Amino acid sequence: MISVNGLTKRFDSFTAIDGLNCSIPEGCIYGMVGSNGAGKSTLLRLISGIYKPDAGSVTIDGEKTYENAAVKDRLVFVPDELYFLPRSNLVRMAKLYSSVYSKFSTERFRELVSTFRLDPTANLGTFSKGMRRQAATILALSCNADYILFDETFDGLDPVMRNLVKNLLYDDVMSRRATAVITSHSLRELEDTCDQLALLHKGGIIFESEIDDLKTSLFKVQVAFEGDYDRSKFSSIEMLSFSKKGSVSSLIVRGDRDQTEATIRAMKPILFEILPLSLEEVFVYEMDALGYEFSDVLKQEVN
Amino acid sequence: MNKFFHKGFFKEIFRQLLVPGLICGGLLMLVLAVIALDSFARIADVFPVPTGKNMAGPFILFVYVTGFLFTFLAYGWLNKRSNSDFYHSLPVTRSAMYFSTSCAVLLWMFIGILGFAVLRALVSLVTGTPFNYLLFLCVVINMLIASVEVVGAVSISCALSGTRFLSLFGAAIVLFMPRLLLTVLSLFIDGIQNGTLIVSKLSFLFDPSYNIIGSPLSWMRLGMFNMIATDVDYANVSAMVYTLCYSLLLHAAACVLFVKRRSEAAGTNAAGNGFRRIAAICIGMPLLLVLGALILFDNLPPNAAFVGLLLIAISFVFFCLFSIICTKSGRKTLRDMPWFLVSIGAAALLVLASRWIVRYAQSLELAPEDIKGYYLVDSEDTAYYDIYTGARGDDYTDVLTEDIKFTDEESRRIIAERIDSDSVSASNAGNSIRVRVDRKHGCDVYRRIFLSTREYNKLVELRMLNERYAEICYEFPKGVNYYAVDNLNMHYSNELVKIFKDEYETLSDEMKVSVRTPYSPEYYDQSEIHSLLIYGCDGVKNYSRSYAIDARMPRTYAAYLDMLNELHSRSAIKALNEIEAWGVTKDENVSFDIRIEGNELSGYVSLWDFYQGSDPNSDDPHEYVPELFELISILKNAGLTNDIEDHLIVYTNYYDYREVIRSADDFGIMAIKLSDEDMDRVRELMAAIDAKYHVQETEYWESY
Repeated sequence: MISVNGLTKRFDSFTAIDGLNCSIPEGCIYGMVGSNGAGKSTLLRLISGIYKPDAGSVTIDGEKTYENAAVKDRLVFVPDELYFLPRSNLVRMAKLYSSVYSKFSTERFRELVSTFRLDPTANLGTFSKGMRRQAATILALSCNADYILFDETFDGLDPVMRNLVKNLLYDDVMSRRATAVITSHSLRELEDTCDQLALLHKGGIIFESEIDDLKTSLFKVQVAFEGDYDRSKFSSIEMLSFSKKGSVSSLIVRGDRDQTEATIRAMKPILFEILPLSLEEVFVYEMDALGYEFSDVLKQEVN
Repeated sequence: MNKFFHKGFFKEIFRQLLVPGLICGGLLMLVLAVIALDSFARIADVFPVPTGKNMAGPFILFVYVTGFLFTFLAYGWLNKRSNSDFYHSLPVTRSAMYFSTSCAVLLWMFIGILGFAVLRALVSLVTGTPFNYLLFLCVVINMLIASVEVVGAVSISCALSGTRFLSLFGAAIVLFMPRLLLTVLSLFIDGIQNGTLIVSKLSFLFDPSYNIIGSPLSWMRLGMFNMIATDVDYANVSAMVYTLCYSLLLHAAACVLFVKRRSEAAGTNAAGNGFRRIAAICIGMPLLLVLGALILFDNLPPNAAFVGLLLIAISFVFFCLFSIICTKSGRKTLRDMPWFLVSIGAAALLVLASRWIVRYAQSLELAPEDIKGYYLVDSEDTAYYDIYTGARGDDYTDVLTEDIKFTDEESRRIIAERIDSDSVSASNAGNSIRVRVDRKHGCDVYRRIFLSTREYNKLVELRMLNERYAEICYEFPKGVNYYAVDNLNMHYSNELVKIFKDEYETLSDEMKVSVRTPYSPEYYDQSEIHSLLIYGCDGVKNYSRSYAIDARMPRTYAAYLDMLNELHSRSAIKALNEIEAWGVTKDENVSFDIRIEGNELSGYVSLWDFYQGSDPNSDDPHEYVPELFELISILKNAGLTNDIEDHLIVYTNYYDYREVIRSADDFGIMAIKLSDEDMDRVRELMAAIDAKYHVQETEYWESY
């Protein structure tokens, strides 16, 4: 398990991570979303032991990651800005990885190269952005690491390759109980990939939840009654939002879906419908409930 | 997984350096090829045994180039954030990363050095050219240590900086600045004292031997500062140990800095403002030191204030330029500016320090009972040669007697009397020796002491009482020797040496010293001395020795004349015949030379030297031909001889310009004996030819 406690990282006068706490359980895909400068990349670099925390700690299974080769051998980090040796190809890079990662599997490397259909002897400098990302993914997954950290995972990948990477990640998580931490600007991207999601803003996690909980505990109800009514009619239901146009109301409800349905049906509505929420909508309403002036930020994320 | 070494990472960096390693190795092999070709071309020659400096040349260049290049390449990732992040994400501790990288860099350098060394030694072994293998081994060990030093210094700079520009300047500063400052201090000390203090021996810090890689800075030794630095003594074990310890210290510092280095510093100055400012201070110093020297040596020009201000201003410009290049920020450069005062302060400190050191060193006073004895450090003659060649004196006696301690009471008394500061004013005495004084308490003191003639002679006399010293003075060199005798090839030289050695043993001690050249006064003015030249080595020490071959050693000399005739007389006769033929054809593509030396008991005297060059512009320049024909006829018909008391030596040199390769037969020598009558005629003919030739020559030049 990755535990982050009171983590702070400053760059001169700029505080990139400010007293951040979180824990990432084993065997899950943990997504992080946030705007530019929210601290996603810095957090990943702190988790992977690249940066030294100014305060607080990052531990993996109880051991600090910074300057701990044994722990770092269990994790692999794919940064947003990729690095390859000058004039190298995939085979050469695989040699580098196999020199330092004890669990690097050449067999898996070959499999992945053939899956991605990349030429392992071609100069990586000639690869497109997406192909370079694929190459980095192949190398990272070949390390058989317990923790895989991806920064801007799907950046530059076409939809087919995105799905392939996602499937490979699922496979690793399922078969080896690996843990993946991935970041993205796009909530939509993470929505169908992650088990848990965290929203970072100004160096802190302002919201963290399991995706299934988010989607099932928050839903939209459209309801209409004969005669006039107002918000007070639903006082027995936990609502995050209420709007009414004519006789039709839209409610964002948090709670048990069946129980809510039973309660409303008992009121004899002339129209009753429960609609699922997209992850963006869930985030907007949750943020509103927490009192964040967040709509602008989230719009940026969603876009 | 070791905390200090990661095998996989080491292999990776080694692999990354494969191409530059092979390129640099290839270039080194080219140098070796040149040396090999040169050695094969000189296979029959005898030349001085290469000194440590000669042998170290290619190595030093290799160590500098590869030390900088390989280390910068290996740590190139420190200069870019994404690259730095990648490497720091790898499961390798920073200390292991540092030592694995250093080892990979050093392994490439060691492969180059050792590969070159083995092949270089093989070339000498195969060609049999003069070579001191033990000294070469010391040079190689020194170069291995020097590699460690360079890599350590460059690594410090890489760890402190995050940009290529600062890395490069920083590395040069870390590597050279301490030695440069010490050398400048040495220059200051040397400039303000009267040659009493042997600066390089004042402290090991002033001795370039103790920092092998900084020793090339001794190029700063200019004329008057000749006492600053000696050539590196590559066989100095304590210097090797010192340099190794210093190098390891550099690596320890580099490792600590590397471990402490913030990953996010890539692309910026990792050590913040500190390292940049130190570098800028160093950049600002050199011209200030020139100003310091002008003040110190009381050598200020008439417009001193202007020159002083100009030097300060230029230094300040350098300081600011460096700062602005590093920071790319006018505001930061403005903030750096006050630090220029530190440059001024440091330069002033060096000036003051030099005065203090001289005062302190010259205040030494010793009583005879404080002295255990003294050693000679180079003779006066070799000190004299130092000024012009920068080379150590390498006469056999000087080299071999360096380790002999003279302990008699009288010598100690003279040394004690003359070592105090008063003897500086006696510098006009002319008789000085350089000594290492072994004190009963405290470390050895090196001084040039100035003596009266009586004292000087007394010390010489007392030294000769030392059995070992006297033995070395009189003995034929006992090390591994390479012999060269004038006009003889290697085989004949070796044969002659056998005779020489036998005869040498029969000489009196005085005569043994007397036959040494060029120091025997009665032969000093001669231009023509046939000599036996010995180049050799005893352990790590190289030496040379030269002996005259003349009538004082009759058997050797007679054998020498026989050998000359055997080797070169046919060529001489052939050349004389060809000259006769030229007298008919007047071929304009031919030049020749006839030289005649007369033997007198006091040595050789050049009697006649005639040169005829090709002369296409003159219609009939050869009016002297009849006399020349007669002279040649007498020379040809004279009998060859080995009579050491009565002979002439004739040298001939005939050259046809149409021949691409010069034949060995073009050069001839013969020792001949003439009757008194022939000798008189020869003298007349020589005078007649000279007269005609010179008139003609004058007319020729006047026509221009």
